[in-house]
Amino acid sequence: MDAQTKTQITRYLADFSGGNERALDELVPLVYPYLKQVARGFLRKEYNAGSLQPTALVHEAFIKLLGQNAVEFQNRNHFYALVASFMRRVLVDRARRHQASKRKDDTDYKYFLEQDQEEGFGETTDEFLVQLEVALKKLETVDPRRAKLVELKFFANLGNEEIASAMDLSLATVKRDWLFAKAWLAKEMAEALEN
Amino acid sequence: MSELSHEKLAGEFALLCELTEADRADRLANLLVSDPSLGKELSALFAHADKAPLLDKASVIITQKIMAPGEEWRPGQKVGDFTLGPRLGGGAFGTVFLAQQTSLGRRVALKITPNIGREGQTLAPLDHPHIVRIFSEGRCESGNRLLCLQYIPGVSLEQLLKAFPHGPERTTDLIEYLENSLPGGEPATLLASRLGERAAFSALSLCGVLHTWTEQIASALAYAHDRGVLHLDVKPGNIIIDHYGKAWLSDFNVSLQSLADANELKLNMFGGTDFYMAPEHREAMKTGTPTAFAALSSATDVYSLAKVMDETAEQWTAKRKKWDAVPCRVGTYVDDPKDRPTAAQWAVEARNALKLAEAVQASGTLPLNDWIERDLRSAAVLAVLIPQIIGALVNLVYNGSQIVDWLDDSQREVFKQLCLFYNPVCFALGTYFLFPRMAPVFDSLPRSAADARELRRTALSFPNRAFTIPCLLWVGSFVVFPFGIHFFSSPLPELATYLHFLLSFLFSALVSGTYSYLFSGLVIFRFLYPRLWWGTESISTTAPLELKCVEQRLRIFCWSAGAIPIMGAALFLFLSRPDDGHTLYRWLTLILMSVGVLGFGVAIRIQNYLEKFLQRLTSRS
Repeated sequence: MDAQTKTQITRYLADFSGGNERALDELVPLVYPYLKQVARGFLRKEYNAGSLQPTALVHEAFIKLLGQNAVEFQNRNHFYALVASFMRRVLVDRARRHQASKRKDDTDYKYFLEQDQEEGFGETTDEFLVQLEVALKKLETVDPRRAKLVELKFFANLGNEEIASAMDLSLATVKRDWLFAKAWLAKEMAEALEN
Repeated sequence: MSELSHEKLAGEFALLCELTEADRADRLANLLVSDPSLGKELSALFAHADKAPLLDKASVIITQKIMAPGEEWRPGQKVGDFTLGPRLGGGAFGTVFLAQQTSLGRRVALKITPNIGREGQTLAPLDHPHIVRIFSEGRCESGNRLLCLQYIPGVSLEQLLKAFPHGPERTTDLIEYLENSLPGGEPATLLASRLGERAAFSALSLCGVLHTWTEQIASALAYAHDRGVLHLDVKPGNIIIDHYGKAWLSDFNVSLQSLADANELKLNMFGGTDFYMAPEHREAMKTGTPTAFAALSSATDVYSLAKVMDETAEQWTAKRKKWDAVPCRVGTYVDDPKDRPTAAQWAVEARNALKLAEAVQASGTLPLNDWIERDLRSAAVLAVLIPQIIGALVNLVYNGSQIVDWLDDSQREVFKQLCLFYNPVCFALGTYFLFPRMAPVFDSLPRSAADARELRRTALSFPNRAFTIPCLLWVGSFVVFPFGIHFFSSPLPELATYLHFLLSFLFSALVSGTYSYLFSGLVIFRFLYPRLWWGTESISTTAPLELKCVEQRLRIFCWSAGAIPIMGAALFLFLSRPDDGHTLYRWLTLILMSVGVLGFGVAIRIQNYLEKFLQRLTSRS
């Protein structure tokens, strides 16, 4: 990793923290290879309990990229927001890319949420993620708060308590909001499928 | 929708969530009246709320996916008690390696998966000769689950389908491929005790192979279903064929331990392979509602297996016309679960089909095989009529030349009239008594077990009737001719003439009856009888009872086919008068003896053929 790229990454991170979501466009391709590498590294480590937390994953990736001290986030909540948006971008991009490259006619075995050997998920998982993204975009326009919550919950895999503290909400509200957001998204996705 | 009403919607939704189901329904109904747009929106939300848990689950699975556990393991690596060998396969949920278990020094299949689902617990109580066994379950340091499974040396059906896109030329090719394609290129180790199994498999026809596998997997499914376990992902990749040709059902990672466990249903319902999925399974995946999940049943697995076997059969037999020779289905997938057979029924059907396929194969083919198969009804009619017509003609020539010589002109005239009258009457009567009764046997396939039994009974009676009815009519001609002449003209010259008539008709009756029996038996036993099975009746147990006397009868008729004409020739030598023309006398003796020898040849061929077929069909193995 050359110094210039490091500076770039740091700048994008700062941009993102400053509220510029577009910074992710640049950030994701730079960090993605490291993310995979880190994920693999995690598996070899004995302490890991088997479930890979996106927060830990992204954190490690940045540390690997920029070094321990170079990674600075304003606070924990900012970091969570980054992880959620980042993972969302990574997964959805991957799903879209994979879907585009897999447009062939032969009846492949389709697995819902299938783990592909190399990259992306099975077709149906891709569809699921892409549909979710569309619905989530829509939710963002009518209800940004709950959309944020979904992002944190779904993509950063944060627990309700963490979300409550990150979004400064009561635990009950988080639970309520999550119930509603889920139903709303499910309905939206189902309706999109029907059309 | 404006922001305000969205908040209102969310608020109302939260409120409704706290109510009991009945109260919620009441309130929703009220809302639909007071504020229709809000009410409608809320009902829609609740209608989809069932699917919502999917969003919880998906996030966990997707996160787990990123770990890609299989990608991390390499042959040679040590994982806990195991040393990984070559990779055997990888599914949606994990990777399977051939591994050496260090502590016990045995080879196992080690499946490394994320720690979700309950494959181990589901598999543990299943102990069936066609289900891959589980030895133990553990965790590795990284928290992944290690399932220590029985190692089956072999390849998946999926791989076989790829290796033989148009089916193997011979079954031995299949065995050869299986033996040479073991993981890591290791040579196959054959157990002496199982060589017989391998030999029996090698002797199967392609059709027999498919029925064998179908039977084995169907019985495995029936066993699992009996214990409340649904596999829910039956596909070629999950069927392993070992190097003895035996099929194994593996990969229970999306299976359900109990149908009643609704939570389990939701938790696990992320699996399944679209192409082989039953409609109700697809529906459950799509909607995710409890009702849709509840629609899953053992019939769901039956559909998938039917689809798998049907696909295999279609791929492997597309270029072979012989496939239809065996009428039992390899797989018929029907959309309505109610119309599908149970796995247990299907296992019996497959066993029946295998039995038939083996019997057909053991008997070989006859020159007219294809034609008989295509038009059984005509074949059966001709099988009876041709010997009778030939018999009638020969008899007519013989009587006309040998007996009629002794009669006077008026008697000859009566004889001629009687011939013109009685022959058509006989054929009409014979046809009337024999064929209409048989029509349903040719017209319809059985619709129930009782129906099938009845049809088989009728069918099996046909050869007997094809012998007795014409024989009776021949005996009738012994009454009609000599006594007709006696009555309409004058008594026959001597008692010997009556006797001569008697012998001539009796002889014709026996010869043509024998051949009618043999020919119609050929059509009935070999071609018709195998079609008349339904459902769970097992051929191996029922056929021996139903066909008890058939083989013996066939042997008797086979001998009489040769013996009667020869005896006829001998009788002729004794009965003919010294003043008979030498030439005719010689020719008739020669013809009778040739008929005897030729007939015996044909009969023995038919008997041999049928015997092989019937022996296979009635063997209890």
